[in-house]
Amino acid sequence: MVGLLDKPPPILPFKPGAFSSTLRSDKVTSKIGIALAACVAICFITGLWSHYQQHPLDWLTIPTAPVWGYRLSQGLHVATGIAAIPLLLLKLWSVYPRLFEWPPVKSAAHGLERLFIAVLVASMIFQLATGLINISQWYPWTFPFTQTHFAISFVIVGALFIHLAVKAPKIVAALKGPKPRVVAEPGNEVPAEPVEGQPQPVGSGEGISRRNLFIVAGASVGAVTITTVGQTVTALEPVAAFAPRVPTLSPQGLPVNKTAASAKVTPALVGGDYRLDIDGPTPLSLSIDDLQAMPQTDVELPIACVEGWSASAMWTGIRLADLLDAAGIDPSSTIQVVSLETGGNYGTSIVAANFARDPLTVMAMRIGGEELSLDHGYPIRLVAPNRPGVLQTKWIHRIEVMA
Amino acid sequence: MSAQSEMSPEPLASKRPSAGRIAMVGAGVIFLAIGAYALLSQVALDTLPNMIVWLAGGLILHDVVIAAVVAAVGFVLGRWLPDGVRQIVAGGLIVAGIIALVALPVVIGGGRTPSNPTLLPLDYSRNLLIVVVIIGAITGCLVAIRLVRSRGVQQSGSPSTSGTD
Repeated sequence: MVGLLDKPPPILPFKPGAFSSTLRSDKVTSKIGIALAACVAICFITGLWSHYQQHPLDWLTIPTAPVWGYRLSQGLHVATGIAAIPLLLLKLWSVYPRLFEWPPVKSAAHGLERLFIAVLVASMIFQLATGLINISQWYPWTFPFTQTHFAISFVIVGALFIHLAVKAPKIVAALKGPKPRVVAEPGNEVPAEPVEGQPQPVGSGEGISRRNLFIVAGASVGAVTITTVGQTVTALEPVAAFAPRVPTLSPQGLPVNKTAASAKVTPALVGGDYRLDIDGPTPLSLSIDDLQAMPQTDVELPIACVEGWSASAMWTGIRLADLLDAAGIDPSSTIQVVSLETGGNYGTSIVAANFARDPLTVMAMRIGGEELSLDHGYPIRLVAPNRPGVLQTKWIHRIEVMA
Repeated sequence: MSAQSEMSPEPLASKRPSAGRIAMVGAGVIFLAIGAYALLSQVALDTLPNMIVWLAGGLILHDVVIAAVVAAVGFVLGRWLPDGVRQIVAGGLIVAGIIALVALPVVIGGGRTPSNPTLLPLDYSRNLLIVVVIIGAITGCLVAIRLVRSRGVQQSGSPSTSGTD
């Protein structure tokens, strides 16, 4: 048995020299790894920000400005996640020969390190793959996406911290070093001591090749970004070949996440019997005619969805603050809006006092001058600045005071 | 410098780890614990087997299938294409392959539903074809430029090491 473990198995990936590319080096791995780690950091921070907008913390007051805050942070979250896909693939390519190092486990510490790397790689592939599938609103799994995406993000950051701590000396040496350290063939490694300003060996072609690799990395990131980011960056919409949403192709210039049919909101529910009930010291029960007779305000605000698409629109409606005042509700009250929607998790949403009283927060009845279509929330929906799209509740029929 | 340590780099450097590195490991353990707690407290246990299938499946799909395909294509390119051209073709294939992978969910269109035409409104298969043709055309142009130049360089005697600039 011992004899068997001494030598790598005589099958291809374990053979010395099986991986011939001299492009693989600690320097390439470190540089791509740093770019990937930056993507992880951006995704983690913007992801947490989105999470706590939807699950507020008592001590964290979300500001209502800038109005495009969530549009930027969530657009960045999804675009950065997509950009991380080519970086992850190139990073894994650059260290692939290490998968076949022999013996597979040299010591307890080495085994533990490989285990953490397996956790990190599996979690990264899982997070990017399921995230990418999720933005096309496809759920070919049974686990709950949001909670899993949240939990796995902590696993990734944890495993990445440990990975970076273990590799720190190697990364520092690789980035200081003047030429690549070949991964596949340890005998070729350059001395750890870098010589300042040492010229590239003449005729090796290595620098050119490595530069080309970074060009390919940049081209891949650019290609996946430019063909998808048009779902949130309006100017790039014409080249958004793979965007799951295209705002200008949508009715009233805005994609629909939850249709009236899927929310079980029928035309009968928003007909002559419809009333907007406001619970307050002066309870109100307003018909569509009553609402249309109230003072209307125009605001330009984006709808920015968790799935990374966003579009700005001109909304016309009643300031929420005016409605709350009319019902005698205290300005410091947190309120809840209740939709006609049944089933699903977004039939109600909490509106903190600063959002409820912001002059830009409206109960919108019109978009781009037209009456809201049923799919966009007819007769009235919430539109507030710097707020996730899923909380811009449609088909509102009740406003309640929370605290 | 010992040849032995160069031959088999230790996972944990032989030097004593600095306080900063120890703190990073500590932070890592805390984040992992939060992740595990969030997973077990917020995700129904009967969905864990499916999640493990996806976690392990992604790893295996990459390490066995994708990596093997990349290696095989690299091997074929190495056999059949001359040095400078091979790099350009490999670059074009990498970009095209990655973009096809990223486009896969919308091309398959598993999320498409007849009740919501605003979801996946484009003909993504056609778009993928167009994008791949564009990448192919750019790659072809770069190869042509390279061949014309290397013919010029060959006459001055150094065929394989010039760049694309």
